[in-house]
Amino acid sequence: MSEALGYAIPGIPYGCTFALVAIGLVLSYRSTGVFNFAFGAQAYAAAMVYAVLCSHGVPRGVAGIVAIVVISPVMGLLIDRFVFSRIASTNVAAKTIAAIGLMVGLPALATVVFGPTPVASPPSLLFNVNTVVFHLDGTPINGVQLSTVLVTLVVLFALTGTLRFTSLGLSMRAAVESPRLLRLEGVSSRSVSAAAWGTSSALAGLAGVLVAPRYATVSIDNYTILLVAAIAAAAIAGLSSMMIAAGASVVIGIIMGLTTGYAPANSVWSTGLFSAIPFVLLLGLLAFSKRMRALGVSEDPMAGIDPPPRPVVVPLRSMVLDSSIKTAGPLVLVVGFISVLTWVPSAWTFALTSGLALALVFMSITLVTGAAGQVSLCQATFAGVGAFTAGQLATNHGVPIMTGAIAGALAAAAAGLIAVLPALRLRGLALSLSTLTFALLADAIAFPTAWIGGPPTGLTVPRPMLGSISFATDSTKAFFVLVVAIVIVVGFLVRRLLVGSTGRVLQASKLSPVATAGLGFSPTKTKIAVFGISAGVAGIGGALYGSLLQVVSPGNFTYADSLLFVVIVVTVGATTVAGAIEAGIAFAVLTQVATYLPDRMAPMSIVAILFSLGAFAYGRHPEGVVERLRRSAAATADGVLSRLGAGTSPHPEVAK
Amino acid sequence: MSTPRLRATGLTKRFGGLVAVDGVSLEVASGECLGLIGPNGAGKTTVFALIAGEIEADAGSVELDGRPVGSLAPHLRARRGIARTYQRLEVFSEMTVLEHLLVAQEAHRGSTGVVRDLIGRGAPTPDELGRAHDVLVRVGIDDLAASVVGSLSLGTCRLVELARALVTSPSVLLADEPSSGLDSKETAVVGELLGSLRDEGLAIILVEHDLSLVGRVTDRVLVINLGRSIALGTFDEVMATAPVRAAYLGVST
Repeated sequence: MSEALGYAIPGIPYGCTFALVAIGLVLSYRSTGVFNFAFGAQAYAAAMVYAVLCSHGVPRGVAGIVAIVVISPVMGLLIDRFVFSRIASTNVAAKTIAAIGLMVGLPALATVVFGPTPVASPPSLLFNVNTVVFHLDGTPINGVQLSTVLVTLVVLFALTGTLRFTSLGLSMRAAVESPRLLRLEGVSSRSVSAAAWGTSSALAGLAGVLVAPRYATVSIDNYTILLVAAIAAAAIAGLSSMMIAAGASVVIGIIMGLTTGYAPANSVWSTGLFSAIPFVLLLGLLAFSKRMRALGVSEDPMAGIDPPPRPVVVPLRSMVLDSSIKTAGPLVLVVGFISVLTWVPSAWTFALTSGLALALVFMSITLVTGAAGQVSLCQATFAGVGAFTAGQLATNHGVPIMTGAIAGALAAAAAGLIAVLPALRLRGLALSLSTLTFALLADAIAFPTAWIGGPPTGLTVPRPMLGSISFATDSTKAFFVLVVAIVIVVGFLVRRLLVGSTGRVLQASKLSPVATAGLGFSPTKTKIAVFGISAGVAGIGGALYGSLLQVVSPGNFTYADSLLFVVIVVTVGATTVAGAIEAGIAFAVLTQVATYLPDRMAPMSIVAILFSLGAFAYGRHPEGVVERLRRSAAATADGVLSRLGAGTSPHPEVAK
Repeated sequence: MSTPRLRATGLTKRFGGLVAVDGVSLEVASGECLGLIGPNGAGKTTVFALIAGEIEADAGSVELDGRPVGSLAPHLRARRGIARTYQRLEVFSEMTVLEHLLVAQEAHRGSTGVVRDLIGRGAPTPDELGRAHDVLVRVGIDDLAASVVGSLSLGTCRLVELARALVTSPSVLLADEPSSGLDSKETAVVGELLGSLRDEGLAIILVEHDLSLVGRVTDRVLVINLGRSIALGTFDEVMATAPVRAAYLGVST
């Protein structure tokens, strides 16, 4: 018994930090309707501010106040003002993608501001990390643990009191029921929303600062578990009761403490299982809890008076634009292709080849997000399955790499089916969370296993041989040609799906799931088909990408890559195959340009920030930045022409 | 009268403490138009949702041609021939009118169409295009085939929904306030259309607030109030009964 307590007690303070984020999730979801899963990133950003201030000799009390009471709420208010309030009336996919943009952009911003060197963990907010303050039933309680529990209790009671006894609290509770009714009562819902964002962000910041001293450095990966556990706790509480969310968080913390204690030390179970518990819990809740399935569906009794969703930009191109793209597009492609084969330096050829391999992974996002309107957060995982399958078959079984790549695509398609199984009844936000959980499980358990992800030194994925033609290192140009050919074939097939009956039915289902089901459309069957095909396409892309790199490791295909990929694709253009290819090339070019910048500028983080800014605009410009730029350029050209007396009228051709 | 095409027995749905539909039974035969009327909040749309399978009934059964369909998912009921329009519009706002009718036929087919698309046979067949055109002519919106539905008026959107339902050749049509948002001329067209569809053998259940339209096209009328059936008979009969007058006019008898 006392052994169990010894394992359980350290879990309590851990659970307390989950509780802070879980309460923030419930509070902001109920009063603003946004399920902000960027709280993990916000907690990380607050922890960075705190750690950097402490390392510069600022007293920890002052640093804590700056990070928690000043920076975090301001960050929350800015996010509300400039991201979510601007897309309040758009669909769930747009809000989800905005949150993903934050998950990608905030840590990148922290890296740019504070530099790429890892920041050492800060001191505990109260007491001392290494001091054992007292023993509880023989279990030593150190400063971090005690301060975490104390601070959480104080904050919980202060928050409950505020919500119960102040007029602001009354308004916030009313906003939980119906923000629209509240507005009709003459209360500014903007100030209520600001209060909710400020408070919940401060809670996330507090959790971040409290967790930071537990690890050697302040790293974003440690905050993912915090987020997932908090989401699970919020789900248990039905996204409505803060007290139940807090209680559930502590229970999750205790369960994690117990499993860590009883799992054999230094086994994959002690590291993998420990981190997997909240993920498995969340997957189960998503699959079985009705409340979680309806996540993002409004329960506001006055939701019916909502104005209809803003009409999406009509997918028209002007005649000038359309004809100029049709003539200039192929010309640019041919010139580019010949250039790569003749004068382009090999580093750039390599970068462009990687961009084209990634374009296949991006096409898989086009299918799921652009066509079906669902946001999958495990496409990099599918790419990983493709690469690892091809590599394992080639290295250990002598299978030719191109055969291996096809096997990789099939394995990835199978993984796609496994990923979609718990999500069959899910859509919108719940589906995104479920796929995120799948990616995290793969990162924590599957990919580190040697027979999947290869040895710690990396898994060799050879370049192909076609007869006597080798595509090995010295002939990256040949490999480039091969990848171009595969991108053309796969892109052609994906385009057929997008513009054919599949794309049409998927679009209809995205616009009105009720009506499409009422016409006989089976959402389950199509979801399985789309996920399977999409994962297969990602698998081919992953295998080619692996073959280009020649050595891959689990670090090449993490959940963070999935997030970044989604952000890149929606920024450049998520509705067309051309958009996916442009996204691949854009990413390759920016990555290559970034290599010319000094490391201290954290150039890759700058690239990530640029793309995440595009994700915020997705709600209003689902056609993507490139298409938007083309259109505004064409509009300008049109304006000039009409002033010269040669105007053109719009041409009703759909831009697909 | 021939055997009923659709029969619902004892349909009951509770939302928490509120019994929205309480033991409603109805049947409609081929070539018959049943009116379903009642004051706002009576549970008419909920009855439609229960028949179409969008929400699960707490009790009661639904039979189509004598076979139970009450446990089937909405898309399977649709494929057996139940089509509906919606009180709160459910159009595909970014798609054209013609695309609505193509999607309806593709969705109704049941297969996902993925393989056909991949082998390059994803384009709509002349047969599908022809049927879509015929239905558009019939509903009177063939000149709008290329219009994006999000740009059309509410009344026209209702006609698009009606056309979309009809293009799947249903055996039962659940029409939920097809005339709301239409002007009197358009309403007359819809009335004539419903009448001729009925004469061709379609079983129609019509939820409608325009009582003159109900009087014109329905054979029988079921009146519900607060989730319960309170009268069944011809339009003139039910409008003369005391409970119906009380429900509509609020006078106690």
